[in-house]
Amino acid sequence: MPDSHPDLHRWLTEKVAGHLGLPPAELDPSAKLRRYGLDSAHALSLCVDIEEATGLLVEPTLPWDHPTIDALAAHLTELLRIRERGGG
Amino acid sequence: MSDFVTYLRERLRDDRAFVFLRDDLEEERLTFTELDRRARAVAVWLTGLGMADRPVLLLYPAGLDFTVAFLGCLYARALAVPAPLPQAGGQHADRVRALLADSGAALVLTDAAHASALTEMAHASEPAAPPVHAVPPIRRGGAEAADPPVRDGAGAADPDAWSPPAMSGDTIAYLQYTSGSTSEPRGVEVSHRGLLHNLGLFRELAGAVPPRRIAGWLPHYHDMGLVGLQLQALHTGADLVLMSPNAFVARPVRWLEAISRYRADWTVAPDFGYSWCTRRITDAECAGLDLSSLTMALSGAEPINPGTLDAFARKFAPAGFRPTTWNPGYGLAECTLMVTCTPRGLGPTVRRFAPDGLERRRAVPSADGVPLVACGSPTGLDLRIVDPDTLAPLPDGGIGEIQVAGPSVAAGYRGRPDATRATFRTGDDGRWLRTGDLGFLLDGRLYVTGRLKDVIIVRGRNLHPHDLEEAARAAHPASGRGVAFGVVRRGSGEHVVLVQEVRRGREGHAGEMADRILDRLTGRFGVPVSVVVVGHGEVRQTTSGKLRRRHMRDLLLRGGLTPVHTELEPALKDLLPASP
Repeated sequence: MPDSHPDLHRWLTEKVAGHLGLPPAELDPSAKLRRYGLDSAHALSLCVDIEEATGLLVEPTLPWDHPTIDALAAHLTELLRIRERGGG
Repeated sequence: MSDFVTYLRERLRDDRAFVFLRDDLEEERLTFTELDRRARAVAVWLTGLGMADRPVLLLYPAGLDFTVAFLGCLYARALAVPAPLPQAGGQHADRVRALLADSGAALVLTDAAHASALTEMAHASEPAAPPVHAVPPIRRGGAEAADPPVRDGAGAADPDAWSPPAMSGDTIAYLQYTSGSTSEPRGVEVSHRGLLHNLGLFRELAGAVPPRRIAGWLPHYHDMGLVGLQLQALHTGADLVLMSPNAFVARPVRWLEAISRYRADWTVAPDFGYSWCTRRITDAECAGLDLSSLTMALSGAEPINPGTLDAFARKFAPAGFRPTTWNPGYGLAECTLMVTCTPRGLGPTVRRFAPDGLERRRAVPSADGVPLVACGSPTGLDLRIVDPDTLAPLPDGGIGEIQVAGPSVAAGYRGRPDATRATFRTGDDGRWLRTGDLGFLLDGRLYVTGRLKDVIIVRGRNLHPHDLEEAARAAHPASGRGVAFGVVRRGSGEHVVLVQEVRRGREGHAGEMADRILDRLTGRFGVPVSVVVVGHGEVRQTTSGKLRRRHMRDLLLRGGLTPVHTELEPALKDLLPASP
């Protein structure tokens, strides 16, 4: 799995924990988020957070396609890297 | 007055409109007279195709195109069948195939953006699938043109060529597919008489002053979105401000901003909608809201949590929300929509009842008991509570099945005489709808306490255990028989639990199987699921092979199962004392 930006990883952990109403420390970044009760409404909200914070447009299925904090962070880091390279 | 079309057309006015707020916040607006004109054109075209008395499946995204197509069907006396727009490979694709087969739809209508994808989807799976048409039609030669060139189909039809088809109160207006699983869909036949009667009950909730402007986001294929928002607005002569369910879920403040900005006085949502606002709207967003225009906030379609009403009222009091605005209610598609609801201005009635009494099916008021929200008093419909086993009527405070009789009760399930007879019971004492819901009457008010039927309700959406069980069985080769049911937690509502057998000799795969099942179920249904894996033979059936879901739930809650593996969502961590 490629590296993710530590700030992005921390930010994602806080956002997800906020949506689920759990302390960030309780989230195992390698565990599937559905274990913590993530549903489609949380998933959509998280996508909105991501779009607002990064300007990336993401599909609402993102948290199912990349089901852990680690996977989400790595995927977003990669998307941001591609955007930078593309000069976008 | 016997049919909705005549009723509506006698009251058409140009100073009332449907406004759809697109996700980019642009407004689309059609006045009632313009909706009527477009609906007549669609009806002329449908009539020309011979669609009178035939089912027409409506697969639309949120927006005004649906309303035009739906009214067009009513105006042509075709049976409208509203359903969710499927996405390729998504959760609704199977459902659409099942609805096509069950309703016998002769035609599929959608909007211009989805026509080709739906044609492909329909004909890939079923070569004999009915034709898919875009209504309003795809514009040729410049979508920006104010008056596009002559088109074929519904776009070329002359609205003035429309003449009202013969209709009576018994004519079926549309089919509401809210009940029934994917494999056994049930289309509730809503008649014009039933619709007008139920809309009349709705209208009476407002008292002397009819609602002026309704705002909401519920989907049009949901009975509360269709009847409670769209048809109610048309019937009572109120503006309707609509947005898509996704726009609401993504940014719930948009709903309350629409109420503020348009000065709406009436809204409708399930408990989930109000609790989502309380959880997700920030104080900064709240500061810009003015909810003082709102005099009616209906809550229904799922159990009402008193905590939701309190928390919402507290959070939005600074924005002008008043607790008397609440209108808790109860209903189901088999009664068109509404059975009972609290009228305007009274505010909610919340009483506390002893928990052990509720378990023994007896409502005993108790100062430190469980709070329950009253759903209003029966008016315009007959309501009784009966013992589910003996069917004997119960006195006040006795908990039993809620049964309803009256003009709002639907004609039945289309093409399913057995299911119709089982649910709509005709006897010496009249024709009574067995709601499958449990509740009691006290001091003239209805309280809903639970359910006899197996359906699980999450965020106002009906989930059918059979659909969950089938998806689980198909998710992994080690997966055997399973039962799905709901477990209620105070404060967080209903949670889906699956008790799943692992096949003999495959016990070593239990963890992997559970993982695969949860991926499949959470992805497809979008709700959290807990799974309890048990050994072969632990899931009980009746002698006739029917799954005993309630029995299995009782066993689980009593600690009577020996799980091989469990995956519980946080809200259900208490379910098994020794869970890892």
